[in-house]
Parts: sequence; C-alpha cells; structure tokens
Amino acid sequence: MLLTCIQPKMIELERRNPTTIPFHSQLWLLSAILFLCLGCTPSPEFRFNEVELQIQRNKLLEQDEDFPDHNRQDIATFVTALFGTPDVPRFPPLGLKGEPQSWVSLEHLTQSAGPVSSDRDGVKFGLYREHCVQCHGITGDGRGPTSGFLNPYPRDFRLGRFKFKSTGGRAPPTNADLKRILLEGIPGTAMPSFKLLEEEQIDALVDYVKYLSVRGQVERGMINELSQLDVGGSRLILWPVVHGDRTTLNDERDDSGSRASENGEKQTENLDADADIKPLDEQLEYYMDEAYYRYLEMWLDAENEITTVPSPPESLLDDPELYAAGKALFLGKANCAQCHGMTGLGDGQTANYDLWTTHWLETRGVKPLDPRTHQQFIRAGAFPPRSMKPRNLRLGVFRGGNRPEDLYRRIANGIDGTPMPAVSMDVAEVWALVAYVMRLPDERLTEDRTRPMPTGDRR
Amino acid sequence: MPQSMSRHADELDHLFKEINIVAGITLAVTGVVLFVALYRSSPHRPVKFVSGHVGLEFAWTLIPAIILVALAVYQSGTWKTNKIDFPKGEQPIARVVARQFDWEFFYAGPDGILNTVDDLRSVNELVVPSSEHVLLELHSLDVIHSFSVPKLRIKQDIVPGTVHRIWFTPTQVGKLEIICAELCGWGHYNMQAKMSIVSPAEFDRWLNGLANNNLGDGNLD
Repeated sequence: MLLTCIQPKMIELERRNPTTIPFHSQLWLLSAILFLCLGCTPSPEFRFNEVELQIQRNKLLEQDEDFPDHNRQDIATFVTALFGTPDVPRFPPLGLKGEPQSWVSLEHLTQSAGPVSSDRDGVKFGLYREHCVQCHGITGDGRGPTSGFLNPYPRDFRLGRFKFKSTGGRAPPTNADLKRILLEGIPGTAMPSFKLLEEEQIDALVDYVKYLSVRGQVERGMINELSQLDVGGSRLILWPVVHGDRTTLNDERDDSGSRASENGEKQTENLDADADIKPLDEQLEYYMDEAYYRYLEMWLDAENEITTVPSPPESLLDDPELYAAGKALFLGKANCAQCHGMTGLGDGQTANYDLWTTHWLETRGVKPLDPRTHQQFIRAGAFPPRSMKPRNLRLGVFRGGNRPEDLYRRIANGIDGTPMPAVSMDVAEVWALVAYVMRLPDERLTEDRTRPMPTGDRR
Repeated sequence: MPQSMSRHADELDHLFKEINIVAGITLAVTGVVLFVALYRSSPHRPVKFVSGHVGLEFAWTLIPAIILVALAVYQSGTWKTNKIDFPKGEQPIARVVARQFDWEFFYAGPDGILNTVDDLRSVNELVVPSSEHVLLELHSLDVIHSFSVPKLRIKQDIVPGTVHRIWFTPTQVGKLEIICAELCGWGHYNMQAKMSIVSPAEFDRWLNGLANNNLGDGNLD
C-alpha cells in the first residue's frame, strides 16, 4: 500500500530529471570530496606570533616607522631553522656556548611532537597532539580549539612565564614544577591531571613544554630585536642576506647606492647612516645571544632559583595565636584584603589583568574597556581581555596546591604574571598568613547574631 | 567478565548469569513461535485476518509480565543490600570528586573528619583498605560523570549538585582501575584513575605518606 503510493512519484521524478547522476558516480564524487577534506590535511605549522608583531608595529607607527614584511619572513625562517616544525622538532646545540648539559632531550621532543602514533614496541608518539593540543594549541599559544570556552584561558607558553612554580620572580619553573602540574593538574581550572601517563611520557611532555616556551620566547625576542631601529650603535639587519642578491654584506656596503632605488629612500638613509653593517655570522651570533642564550640561561638557572621553604611552625593549623596574627596581617600590613576582600571571598579589586593580557593591552591607545580598540589584537589572535578575579580563599581550592609549602611560596614569591605580589615579610609572618588562609574556609563569614533559645518552661 | 573483587560483584555476576539464561530461553521460544507462525502457510488454508484475539493478547502480556516481576522479586535482595541498606553509622572513607577531566579523592586529615580544611587530597589515585565496608561519597564539579569500577561491578552516575553514596565489600586485595563511564567532554578518555585495595595496615601507611605529602612533615626542601 505504502509502496504503491510512492512508486509512481519516484518514476515521475526520474523522468523529469533525465540528467540524474548515476549512483556509482555519486559514490565516487562523495569519496573524492571526503578525500579532499580529510585525506590531504597538511601537517600543522607553528603559528607566527602576530600579536607581538602588532604590538611592535604600533610602537613603530608612533615613530612613523613600519615593520618591513621581509623581516617577518626572516624571523619565521630563523625560528624554523633553530626549532624545526611541529613534526620535526629540533633545538640549537649548546655546544656553541660551551654548555655541557642539554636543556631538553631530542628523544623526548620527537616523542611528544608529530602526529599521534605508536611503534611496534608500544612506545607512543605525538603525545602533545594527543593530550595537550586541544587547549594549548599546536604552537603552545593557548589557542587550541577549546580554548575560547575555558576560563581561565589555557596558558600561552610563548611568554615563558608560569604561575605555579617553586622559583621566585620571573624565573622559569623547574622540571619538577612542570611535572607536578602535569601529574596533579591545576584544581579550579580546566587543567586536568595526567597521572595515568607513564613517567617517561610526562618527562617527554615537560621537555616539549620547555621547548615550546623557549621557541616562543626566541620568536618574540626576534620580533623585538628587529623592531629596534638601532642596536648598540651599529645597525643589525637580516634582510640583505635573505632578500638581497646573495651578495655578502661587505659587498652590500659598497653597493648600498644601487639598492637604494629598489628599497626606497628611507633605507638608503639608514644604510648610509650606519656604515659598518656586521657580517652575517656576527649578526647570527648576536641574535643567538640576544634571543636564545639569554632566555636559555634563565631556564638552565631555574634550579638555583628555587625558594627554600623553612620548616613550618609546630601546630600550623591549630594555633589560635598564629591564626590571629595571620588575620591581622591579612587585613593590615600584607594588604591581602585589597584584592581578596575583607572576608577572603575574592571580592576586592577586580580591575586587574594578567600578564598574558596586559602585554598587549598596555599598548598605547588601547583601552581595557573599549572593545573597539582591541580589534587589531583580537584579529591577530589575542583573546578578548578578561579581568583577573582574585581567588576566593574560602573554597579551600588553591590552584598551586593545597600544601602549606605551596601556600608559603605563593605568598612569599607572589604569582608570576598576575597582580599577586611577593610580600616582603619575615618567615614567621608568612607562616602566620598561611595558617590563616588555610583555615579561612572554616571561618564564619559573619558574627553569630542569633539569640540563644530561651530556656526554661515555655507555655 | 573481568575478575570480580567484591562480594557484591559475585552476587551481580550470579544474577547476570541467571537473567541471561531466562532471556536466552525467552529468545529461543519466541523465535520458534514466530517462525512457526510465519511459515505455517498451506494452499488449503486461506490467510485469516484476526482483530483482537483476547486469549493471545492475554498470553503475550501476562507471560512477560510474570517473568519480569519474578526477576524483580528475585533480585530485590541484592538491590536492597547494595542500594538501600547502607552500613549504619559508618563514615565514608573518601570523598570522590569528579571534574573535567580527572578524579580527586579526599581523605580525612589528622582530625579524622571528612570535609574539613585538613582533608588530604590525592589525584587519580584511590586507595581503600580491605575492610568489611568501604563507603564512598561521590560529587561532580561540572557535568554528569559516571564512577565505574569494572572489577567491583560498580557504575554510578554522578550528577552535579547531588551527593551519591556507594559502598562495597572487597573480597581480595589488588589493583583496579576507575573509569568515567559517561561521555563528559574531549578529555573523557583521560578520566581514568588507579585504584588499589590494600590491607588496613598498608592503608594507614599510605595515608601517612599522603599526609606528609599534603601537609609537610617539617622536612621541606
């Protein structure tokens, strides 16, 4: 019955469209489209740090200068030459500087990089793309596909700055710090624990995070360097090497007149002004020093920057005097209440931004509350700014860890990249603060104002 | 079936087997009946259209109903012991907090009371003693997760905002794994945790280690 209703119409349809594509051709077409969409995905590439470029462009514009496009290309070439690609990572040897140890292991990098796969022995490769890339992005810029939905945003490694570490100030974290974060996760954020990975895999990922950080720092450093109009009195430029006619720089010096016609007047002036252009190897050495070894030394030195935590006082958690001292410091000298609020609810001053936002938000002409002025940076890949919320200390969830030593370091060192400053107080005072903060979730918010129930015989 | 490591698992496996037998018999019988009904045609007997056969409808309503009610009654003892009769007056050994995408386990700290500031936190690693009753309290911070331990035959959805309690009696010590059995987001695959059932003495030792790790033993680096 049903079939008889449908069939005449189908026949009619076929008659009306004599050019219907036969079924097997449709299949071919479909598979071709599928192949084009899925089969030929190009291997991913590191994304250029457009935000940093935009920051420098804005600075140069104030001086009526422009950032030449070929410099951008040079930086990309330079960074790729040093660090390879997401599939084939590499890093410059330290032998150049006579450093004996290696800061990451190439074996670890190859295990973390590349597409997800495993070999016959079950060793897994592409760990970063399996576990991290969804949020932190292929470049480690915190721009993975899920990043926009997360609060806080995933960490952008390229600034080389980390919040929860045992080292003080701007010092990079130690391997143990990064490992701890991978193993424990960061409570209160979207960063989960990866404790189920094998230890070797965690170590590999720690190295890859360091690699991405240094890579990002070098890239930023190069953008900064090539935005300086004058460095140390002598002009340093990469362009004649790559974009010139492959002549040496010495020839270039004599030849500067003939290049003028090609590159416009301004560059002629510059070249004339700085008669001694350094040869390429000197230039490269300079950039390796300025943009690679400078950052690397900090990473290599991290172990020496660890803040030692003195022994906590006896009965840290149940000493009323310590608690009272901590409370007095919290509300007074240490000035915690200014941001964290009088009650520790995190409801104090909330108009601050973290480093990963301020580094572009503080460009001249950009107003934090005027989204129109953000557009150029958002387009370049920055996240819409979100003000930092001081931590609600009453939840009992501390991102850097709940251990007293974690809290000690947060207070003594501050939290890098955030408005949380390092306090200048003596050890006993810091421990008093730790004691108070650890007990805060238990403290009553308000005084007990309920009247006691009337006792006695009620009729 | 994975190895069974709790008393409750043995009971469930038993039930599972019996229900399978009942379902298997039902499948065979209905299959035969259906086959006979469909291929019983004969050129001498015209097809008859039947509308509303009281006897037949009673039969195929009542027989499954009786089977199901019988099964329900038969298993009610197991249900009662595991889901209704919680061991009285016992505190949960740990609070399980599921979040995207890991498991956090909180144990009572030095004060011996759960849900206070000195709770000890362990990520993705649950250790329980092989005591008579092991009680757990399940929470979720974000979306619906499901606490599933195949070797214990436990699978309990965790709805955010609700506290779920489960309990079991381990029959042996050993290592197990906890998995999230409810698709909870991109990192669902990563929501696995190690679990071990250890002797009470070993449990105390482990808890001491956790306390030292969590609260510091005075010898910090």
